[in-house]
Amino acid sequence: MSTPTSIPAAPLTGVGRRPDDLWHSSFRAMASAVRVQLGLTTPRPAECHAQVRALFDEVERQCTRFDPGSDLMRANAAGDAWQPVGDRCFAAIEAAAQAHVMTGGRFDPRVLRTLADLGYTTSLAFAEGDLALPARTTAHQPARPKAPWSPGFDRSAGAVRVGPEPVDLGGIGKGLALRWSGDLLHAAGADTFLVDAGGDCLAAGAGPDATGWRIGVEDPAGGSDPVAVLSVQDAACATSSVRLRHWRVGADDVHHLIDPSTGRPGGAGLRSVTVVAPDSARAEVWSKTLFLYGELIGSAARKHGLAALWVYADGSHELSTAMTPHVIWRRR
Amino acid sequence: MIEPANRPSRWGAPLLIAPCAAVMFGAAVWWAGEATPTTASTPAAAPVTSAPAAATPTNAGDERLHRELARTLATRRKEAAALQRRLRHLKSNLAHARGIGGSTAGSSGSDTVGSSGSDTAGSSGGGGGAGPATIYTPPPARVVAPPPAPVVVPAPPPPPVHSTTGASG
Repeated sequence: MSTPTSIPAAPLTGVGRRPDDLWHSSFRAMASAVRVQLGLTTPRPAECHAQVRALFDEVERQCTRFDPGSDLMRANAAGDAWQPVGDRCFAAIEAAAQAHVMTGGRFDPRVLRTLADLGYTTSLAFAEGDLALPARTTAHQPARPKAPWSPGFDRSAGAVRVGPEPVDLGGIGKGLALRWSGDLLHAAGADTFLVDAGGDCLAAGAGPDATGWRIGVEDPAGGSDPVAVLSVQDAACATSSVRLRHWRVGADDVHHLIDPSTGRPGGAGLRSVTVVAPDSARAEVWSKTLFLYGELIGSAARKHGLAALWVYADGSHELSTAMTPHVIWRRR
Repeated sequence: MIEPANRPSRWGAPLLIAPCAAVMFGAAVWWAGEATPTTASTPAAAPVTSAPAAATPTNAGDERLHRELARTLATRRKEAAALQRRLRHLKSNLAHARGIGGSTAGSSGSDTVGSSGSDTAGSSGGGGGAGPATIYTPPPARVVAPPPAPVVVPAPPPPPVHSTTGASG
């Protein structure tokens, strides 16, 4: 997530009709471009757009790791002590703990120190091309086996205890922001909408032409054509990719998807993993977790019954059986 | 006949007959010596597979036999050379046919033909003998029709999308 000061949220723009009979708007939050598309029958679309933007800003304010004053970073600083946090941060840490259990520990937000060790301490300008950071002054220390993460939650006091290892809520925070945006839009009377936050999408209804929302899976190698086109209806999709967030530290190529078992960037042999799931936070968690399986991703996707499509380092791609109904076009 | 009464006349006939008989006997012995064929052994016909070393003719018969053998050897060598030329021609045709057939011929077939033909030609030509050469005759090359050119169906373009996933995850 970005600091509000380094990447200010863009003003609400672009509200209006398009030839495909949708209301469009976009803004920037959580280091990503957020695009909102609403069906024309949505009541008070401008108000809906404003509410979605305010929600993203609030989640970012509470959950960013780039602001020492954020709720998350105050909880990290407290360590084993109880720390009151905002409701969004509380819910995000709770959801991360549930994901940690659901994935058998493969999803582990306690990677903040590793990311800091790799120089990812501020919002980096990935989009500007090759990014190189000076080599570490200390040799990489192999990750020690960690006990399962068991943070404490005091719901009545709105306080959490994250433990001695600081946590990062980057990916799951964005998935939760999408989930909460959907709740908000449904409550506002919207039944057809698509919210896209930096490639994580939440689709409600059957889209403007009643055949599903068509979402292109971008080529992680940067090709102009997508790898596949998915049809998503009342579901979410998320992609974990090293296309953008990768950099060099000295002579090492690194990226932001850290394997908690090694303390190093994981997912060898893969470039991206896309997951379709009923919930946006769940899709985000599983896309990251499956990525860490590397070339064993096929058996992992089958084992967990996930709708997944992944692109190997050589550019080829495969998909799980559960993903097949969503694919309406594939690159040959 | 009136015989003289003196003794010398009674011994005259044997004195005349005995030398004549001796002369006749000697002549007969000489004639027998000349007329009886000699018992010298005739050399067996040399097998064509093993060329005998050239021997110095000792008489007219040996010389004749030597010439016949030399002719036979020359004939067999010409035949072997012709067979080798034929083999090379067949190998060339086979290689050409395989080249047209491409990968359908397979590598194992090529190895088999190559080693068999080469070995046979080597022993026949190198030995110079006239033994029947067991030339490997490859089966007639199957004419493999070139595969039809694949019909390239252009991939349909991706449909228009409402959004994309994968940029920043």
